[in-house]
Amino acid sequence: MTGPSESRAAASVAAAQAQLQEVDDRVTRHAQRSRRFSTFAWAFLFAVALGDAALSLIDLYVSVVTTTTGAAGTSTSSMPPEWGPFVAFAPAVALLGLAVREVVLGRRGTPARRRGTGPADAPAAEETTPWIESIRRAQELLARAGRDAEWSFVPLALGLLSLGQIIAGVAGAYALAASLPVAFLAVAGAAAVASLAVLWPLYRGAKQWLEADQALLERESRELGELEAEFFWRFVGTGPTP
Amino acid sequence: MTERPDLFVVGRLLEALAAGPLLKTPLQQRAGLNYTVFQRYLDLLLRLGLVAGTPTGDGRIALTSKGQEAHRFIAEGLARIFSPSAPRSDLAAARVRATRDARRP
Repeated sequence: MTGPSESRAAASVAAAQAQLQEVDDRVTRHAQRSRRFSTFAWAFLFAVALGDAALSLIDLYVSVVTTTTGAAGTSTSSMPPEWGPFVAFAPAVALLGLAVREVVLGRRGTPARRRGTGPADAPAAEETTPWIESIRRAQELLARAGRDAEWSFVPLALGLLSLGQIIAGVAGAYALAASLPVAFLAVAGAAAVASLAVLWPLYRGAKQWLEADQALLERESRELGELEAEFFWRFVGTGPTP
Repeated sequence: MTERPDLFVVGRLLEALAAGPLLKTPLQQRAGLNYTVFQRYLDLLLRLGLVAGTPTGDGRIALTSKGQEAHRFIAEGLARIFSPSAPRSDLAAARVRATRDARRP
C-alpha cells in the first residue's frame, strides 16, 4: 500500500503544519515585542516628563545654594544637587533600555518553539483552526505590530530630544558654575542625537522583519488557496464547499 | 458538512491512514481531532471515496486508491509550498538560513 512516492510524502502534512505553526508563533512573538516596545516607548516619554518635574522639585527642596562674592557684590545661585538628574531620569533611561532590548530581541529573530511537546507527526492537541484563519490572524497581528512599531518612534524621538534638552540645560548650569567651556553643553544634545541614530536602524530592521513575514504569509496564503481549490476541483469535482 | 473543510485536517487524516488501515479511535487520536470534527471529516472522506472500510469488515478504515492519490497530492503540494527552496523574500530566506545555522550543533 505504501509506495516510494507515498513514503516521500509521509509526514509532509504534519511538517507543513508545524512550519505554519512556527510562522504563527514567530508572528505572535513579533506582535508581543512590538506591543511591549510601544508600551516602553510611551512610558519613556512620560518618564522624561515626570523626571523633569522631579528635577524641578529636587531643585526646589534640596537645591545647593552657592553664594559668590565678587567686585559687583554678593550673588546667590541655587542648583540641583549632582545626584538630582541621575535620580530624576534613571526610570526614563531604564525604560529606554527596555524599549531598545525589545527591538534587539525582535531583530535577532530567535527561532520559535512548537507549542506542545509531542513529535512533529503527532499533533499534541486538537488542531482544528483552519489554516486560512490561522494565516488571517497572523496577518492581523503583523499589521498591528507594524502600527505599534510605527507609532513608537514618535514618543521615543520626542522623549530623547526632550531628555537631551533637559540634560543639556542642567549640564550647562553646572558647566557655567564650574567655569567649564560652553562646548560642554553640546555633549548631552549630541548623546541624544546619537541615541536616535542608533535607534533608527534598529527600528528600520524591525520593520523589515515584519514586512518579510507579511510577504511570506501572503505567499503561503495564496499558494495554499490555490492548492485547496485544485484539490477540491480534482477530488470533489466542485469548489471548496462540498 | 456546511463549513469549509480544511485542507490540513483532510491531509492529516489521509496521512494517518497512509501507513495502513486504522480503527476509528486511533485514527481520531493521530489526526488530533475531537470526536465531532473527526466524524464530520470522516463522513466527508467516505462520501468522496477517499477512504473506505476494510473488506474484512473488522471496523478499520483504509485509504482507497483515490485517497492515496489525494494524500500524495496534498503532501507534495504542501512540501512544495513549505520547502526551504520555495520562493520567499530575501529576508525570510536569510532568517531560514540563520535559524538552520543556529540549530546546527
